[in-house]
Amino acid sequence: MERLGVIGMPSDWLIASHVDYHNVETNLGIQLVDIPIERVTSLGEVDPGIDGANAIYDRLKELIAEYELSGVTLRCFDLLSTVKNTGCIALSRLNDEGIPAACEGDIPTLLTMMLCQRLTGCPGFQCNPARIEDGRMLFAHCTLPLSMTTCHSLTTHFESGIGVAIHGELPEGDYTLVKLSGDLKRLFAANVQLVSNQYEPNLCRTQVWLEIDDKVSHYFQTNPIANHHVLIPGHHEDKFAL
Amino acid sequence: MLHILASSLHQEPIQLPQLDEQWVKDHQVVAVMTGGSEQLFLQKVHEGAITLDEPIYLIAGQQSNSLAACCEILSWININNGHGEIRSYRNAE
Repeated sequence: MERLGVIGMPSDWLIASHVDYHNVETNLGIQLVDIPIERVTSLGEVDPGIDGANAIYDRLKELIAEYELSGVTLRCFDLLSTVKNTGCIALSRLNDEGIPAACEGDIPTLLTMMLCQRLTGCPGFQCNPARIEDGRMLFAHCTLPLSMTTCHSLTTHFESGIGVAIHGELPEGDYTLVKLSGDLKRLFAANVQLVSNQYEPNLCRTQVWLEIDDKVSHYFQTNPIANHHVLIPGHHEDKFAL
Repeated sequence: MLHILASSLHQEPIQLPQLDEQWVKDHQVVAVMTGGSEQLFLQKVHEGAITLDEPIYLIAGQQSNSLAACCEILSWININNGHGEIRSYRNAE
């Protein structure tokens, strides 16, 4: 049976992202393994730049080996006040290595990332819906697999202003937006077009505009599956039909 | 009734939405100014200040993960047999 690590509990703001571990084990054949966040925060204060970010990556790799994990989700905001750096680089590198890795202890998003990788072979960009306008939406987050980008720069994490986060630019073209619900009963997948990148303050650092149709707009305005969604390259909506 | 939610996760200045006063009086409106406001919403529900018996209109701004928090909150509302919708606003430049 595959094992996914939940390092720290889900972030407090994920109020609609609960999962029943037994349900996941029974229906997906995946065992969720709780790992205390102290296994990472015991690093203590690390270098505030890339060396510290890589130290967090090294610690996650140790945990993945120790617990024999196929993927992880990390309660990353707990690192800000303890380790004084972010998990952004660590999660980016893991996703590039084919190990699904999600932020904020978000378990449904981790399951979605794993599903995406298994169905398409691609790592995904875990992102927040950030703006919605007629026919388009902005999505943003502070980490993504660098293999998805055409160029990137390292900057600070949005909410904290510390550590190392990623501003990446993605190629324009076909993508699929995906999300599995925590109760495993709903699976949203929609083909979209990435039409532009931007970089504004007061948002997470990687920011992409997607062209969306009325169905997607209505979904987000009336019945979204929580916050985080996963963006993967190519049009794969048909592969996700339940 | 207008409820304004903003979390301590965000330090940047926020712009309050300019909404029609009569519409706000007639509806249950929650302006979610920043990400991390989700527990504040639950607190309002538990205190009885917000009810799931009437539609809840979530107002999303253009920055500070406002829309992200609205999506998490709306998902919770739907899971708990309430209903609502997200409306975006953009203040005049």
